[in-house]
Amino acid sequence: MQKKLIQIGIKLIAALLGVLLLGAMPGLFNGMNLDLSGYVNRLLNTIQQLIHYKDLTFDSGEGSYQLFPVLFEYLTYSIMILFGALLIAFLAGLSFTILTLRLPAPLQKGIRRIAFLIESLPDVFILALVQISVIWIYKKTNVLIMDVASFERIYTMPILVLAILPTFLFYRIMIHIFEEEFEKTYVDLARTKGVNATRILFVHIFRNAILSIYFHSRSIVWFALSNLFIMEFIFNLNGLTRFIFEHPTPEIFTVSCVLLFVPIFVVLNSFQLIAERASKEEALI
Amino acid sequence: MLRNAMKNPMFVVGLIVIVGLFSISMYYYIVHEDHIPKTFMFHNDEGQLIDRAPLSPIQVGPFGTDKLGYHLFEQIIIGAKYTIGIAFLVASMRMALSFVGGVLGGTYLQKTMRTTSGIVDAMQYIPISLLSYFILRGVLMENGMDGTFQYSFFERMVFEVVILTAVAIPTTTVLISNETYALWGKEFIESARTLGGTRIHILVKHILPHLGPRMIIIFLQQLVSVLILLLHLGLLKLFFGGTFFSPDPVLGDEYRSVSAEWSGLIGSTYEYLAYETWVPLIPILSFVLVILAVHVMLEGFKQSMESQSGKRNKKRQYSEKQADVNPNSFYFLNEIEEENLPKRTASR
Repeated sequence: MQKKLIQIGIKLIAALLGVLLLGAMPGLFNGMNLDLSGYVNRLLNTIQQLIHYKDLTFDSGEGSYQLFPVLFEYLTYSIMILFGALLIAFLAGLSFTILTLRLPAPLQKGIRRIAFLIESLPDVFILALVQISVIWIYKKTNVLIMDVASFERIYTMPILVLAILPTFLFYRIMIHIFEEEFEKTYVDLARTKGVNATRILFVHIFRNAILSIYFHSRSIVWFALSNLFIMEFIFNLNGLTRFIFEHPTPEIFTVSCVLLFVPIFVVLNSFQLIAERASKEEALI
Repeated sequence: MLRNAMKNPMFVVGLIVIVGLFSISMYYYIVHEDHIPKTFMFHNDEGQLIDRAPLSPIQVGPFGTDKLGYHLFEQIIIGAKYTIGIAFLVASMRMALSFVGGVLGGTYLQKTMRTTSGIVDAMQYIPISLLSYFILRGVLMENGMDGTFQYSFFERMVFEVVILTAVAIPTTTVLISNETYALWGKEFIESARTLGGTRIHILVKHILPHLGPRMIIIFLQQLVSVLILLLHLGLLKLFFGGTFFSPDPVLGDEYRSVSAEWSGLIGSTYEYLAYETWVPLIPILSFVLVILAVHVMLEGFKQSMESQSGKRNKKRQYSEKQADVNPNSFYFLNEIEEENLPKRTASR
């Protein structure tokens, strides 16, 4: 366990370093010219400002305000939406997978085709569809499902909208992994021993599949993060990524990226630990 | 490998859509010199003026017009060669560079790759479109104050291609290096070694051919990722080759694309989604079409690869069928009571 924690600590520092290096990236270009000294300057500058994080300010309208603790409100909002959506996507993907695996084979094929089509749609298209349907429903029934012009922080709709594509990604991956597991000999063994199907699925197969699911879920998290940004932009949500977009100073970019990085890192690594525990296997990466 | 894929209907359909769109676009450029017809006023059969631009797809076929009266259909056709061309160019450059780096890294530098991959991991915690936006903004956006670009069209184009390529290089390189490294661990490599193959020989004769199909899959995935990145940047008002920006405090700021590239068509008109839905929706749908086509190609290619390697599995399925034995053909020496028998559950 201690070895594990040290490993995670090293990973944390490496990734944090990476975020800092990336955060200073826009400073590398002076117009179109590479500006290495500018990059280093900006990097050092940001680190210095990060140490005195309490003095950071941002400009809004005429005035200049303290960045902390206001930034945390934006952060919690974005994180709530991101993780809410990912959790729903994970659970929905899992339940769809289990349901599909119980259906007869020809039906399974049809469902998969549809899921594949939806999964291929770009996020902007889904967001546009949501927007059109909100307007359409409002025109027909006078019910406003989602108010995208207000300053209040709304949760339900953004979480549901953001969950759409990750659900299908989780679904595709889970179906694939579960089927691979079904081919393995231990399933046959369990069956011959008379373990019932539900138990095989939930206890044995799920336990073995969860580590592979973890590996794929990292890219899904990244994908969802990009989605979150574009959704906050289109729907005018008061989240962190939109805040970065509106206050494009180097230190706000880096500080926000670091803040966004910490919770995602913590969640992903706890997931990894749980998955390793469950499968009694160690992840190599 | 590709000959096999050509036999897969899904792969072929996707390819036809993309190549078709591109060729039509080139044809239009050569024959009609990218002329965009314009209908600003719309008259009914009696010659009375009933509407003005933007006109809906019902009034002016097939896709309607934008707010200046330019027909959208021709704009989409003109834009196709830019959008598809850029995506293809950027994805190929990403692949070429990452391939060299990945193969070398996976072959000679696996230890270093592993330590640096922690830093590369950081890419996963930053939305890539946001990062590209900040790097590209200074160069691509027209200076609103004096209405000029700092750089020429060609320079801007090269810069954007370089940046869009660079943002994906670290992750793709690590991916390819991992694939390469995994191949080096295979058993047949071991036997090639015992037979006296040198590193270079094994690399050229065994590793590269096995990497091939994976490379095509990664290439198609990169194609989709470039298209989505372009779409995002378009929404953020960064259009390929530059954005004309004219601030207008009364009517709202106006952004215009330099070329008729699709993401520009979307970004400059997205606000119309609520009123004249088709104006931004048609370029978005064109994106959907191309992305879907690439995905279909990807799926088709995977299928053709599976059917190639699936020949061995067929044998196994056959033997499974054989396993259905008539229960009456044998009997148990020690007969067990019926209800004590473990239940056979069929979950498949």
